Amino acid sequence: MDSELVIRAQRGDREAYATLVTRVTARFVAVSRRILRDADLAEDATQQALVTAWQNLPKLRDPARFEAWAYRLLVRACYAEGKKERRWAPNLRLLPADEPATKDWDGLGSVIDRDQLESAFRRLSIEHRAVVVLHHYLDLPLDRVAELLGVPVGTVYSRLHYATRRLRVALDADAEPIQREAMP
Amino acid sequence: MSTERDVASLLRSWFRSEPDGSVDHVIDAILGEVDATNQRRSTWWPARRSFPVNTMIKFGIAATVLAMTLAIGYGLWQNIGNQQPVPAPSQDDAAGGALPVAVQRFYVGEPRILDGVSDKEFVALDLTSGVLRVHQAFGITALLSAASLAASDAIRFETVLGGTECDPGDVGTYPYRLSPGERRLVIEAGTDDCAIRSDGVVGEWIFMDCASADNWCLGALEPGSYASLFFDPWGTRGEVVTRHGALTYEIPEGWVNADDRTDFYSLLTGEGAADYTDPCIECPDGLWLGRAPNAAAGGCAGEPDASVGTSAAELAAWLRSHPSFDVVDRPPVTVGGRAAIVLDVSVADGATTCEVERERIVELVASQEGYSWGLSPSDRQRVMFIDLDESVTLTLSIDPLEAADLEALAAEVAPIIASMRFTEP
Repeated sequence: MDSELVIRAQRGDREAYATLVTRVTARFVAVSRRILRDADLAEDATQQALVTAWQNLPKLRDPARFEAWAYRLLVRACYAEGKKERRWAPNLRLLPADEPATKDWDGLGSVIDRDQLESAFRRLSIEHRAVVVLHHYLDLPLDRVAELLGVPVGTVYSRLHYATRRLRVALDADAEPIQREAMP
Repeated sequence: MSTERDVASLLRSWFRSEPDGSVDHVIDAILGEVDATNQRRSTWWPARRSFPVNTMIKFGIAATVLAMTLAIGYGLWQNIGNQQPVPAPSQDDAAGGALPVAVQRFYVGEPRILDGVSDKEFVALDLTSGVLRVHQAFGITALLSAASLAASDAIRFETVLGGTECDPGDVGTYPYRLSPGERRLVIEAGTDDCAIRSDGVVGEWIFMDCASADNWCLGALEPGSYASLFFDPWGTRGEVVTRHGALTYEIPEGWVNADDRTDFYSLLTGEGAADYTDPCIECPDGLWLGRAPNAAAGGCAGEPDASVGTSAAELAAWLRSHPSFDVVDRPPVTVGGRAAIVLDVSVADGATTCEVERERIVELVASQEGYSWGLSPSDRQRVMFIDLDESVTLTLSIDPLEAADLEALAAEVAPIIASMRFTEP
């Protein structure tokens, strides 16, 4: 990220900040949408994060760290938006279909895989989802994820391990041929 | 049965397969809100104020911390059997063991220049993960070494990687001790194949336990003497540099250093002090210092009133005549050898308020340095203005969470204030 732009924005230059926003928004929306699993919430989280960043930019000591700092704000905004999701989301669970219990692990070979993954992923907390997305979508190493989230590397590792294990168990369970069941 | 690798692969494919639409409308919405939003060049001090996110650089960094830790571990493994015996202050069963957990921390201390390494000060000692680094304030590190116990009272540092300031195989042994509260680490002079490592590590270091991960503050303080690291009443506006010891003070039990910034410094106590992070809503009882205060223009714009002078006397006169404040003069006190004007301030009936963070306040200080300060109608503060010299003015606020606690808090902080000393560059 261009530190000169950040410094100009720190001094109140809205044009410079507009350039920064234009550069990062698409990636921020993409990350938050994958964490929150909701396009509207993701856009709200991105907006909240980048407006908060503008407000507090004068306090940023190291302009070179703008992007990392903004990512942290984004994840915090996702946590806040995630609470809305928990409050308002209907109690839905995707039912396993009657297809054979096979998965195309080389890709997304079937809709059922995607649905199962969506269902399993949604069962994770926002905190766990954030680690998974930052690591597996942005390809960030774990120490960098820890830096962005402001938590120890060990915490990131344990969250990722827990999330992966939960997903694996959920996917394997969903893959078992079971009867459709009525959900409350 | 799937494996974790399967799941990771599936996740990556899944994330990448999801389409991303246009974000133009999001950008428009953000920029529209930015146009209508002022930057917070201010921190609202008083109780029940919402503090903006404080975004100081987190030290060190270490984008490569994990990798370097592993590399050092590998280097140590490779060096097993090749280690030369080194004299240690005492030998016991602890030799060769890992550093105690209480030692594996990040510390700050008196700055030092490492000749031939950098002309900028190193101010921090990092022993986390059993790896030594010394840090400058903004990410530059040096003296990367493996750290272990040479004895129960001595640390052993060994250079295991090339490309550092010492040669691979260089070993140093240093006596050390922790304070009773385990927040102060003293590393004494020892023996070292690499002389410059001694310059980097010997001295007293204070555990940096800031509740805010981005902040350089010390967090909970053991009773004793302390020095600021960044706060600098004589600093240059907009410039962030380390200025160790511009403020020194003595602290009793139960206090927390929650901010150490170029423009202000805070000491908090009581409920919530240990957990204080930005933003806070119910801010703890505190003592706040700000440099170069300006009278606020009002309206919650965070802008100074340029027509008001900036000396202690001029600021006090302006405040006494402000129609939205009730001001009571208190007996003057001495702060750092200088006379301080002391005023008790509360919001007057019928005052003109403005809104910040969904709370009505009256602005009091709006410094060009980057902080502002106001009172809500239920607040009561003891405000001091101090001329440190002809051109440098300081403000100090005793700010209780509950207005009724002002006298008790003022009595509690009096010895701290009396111990404060300010040192010019």
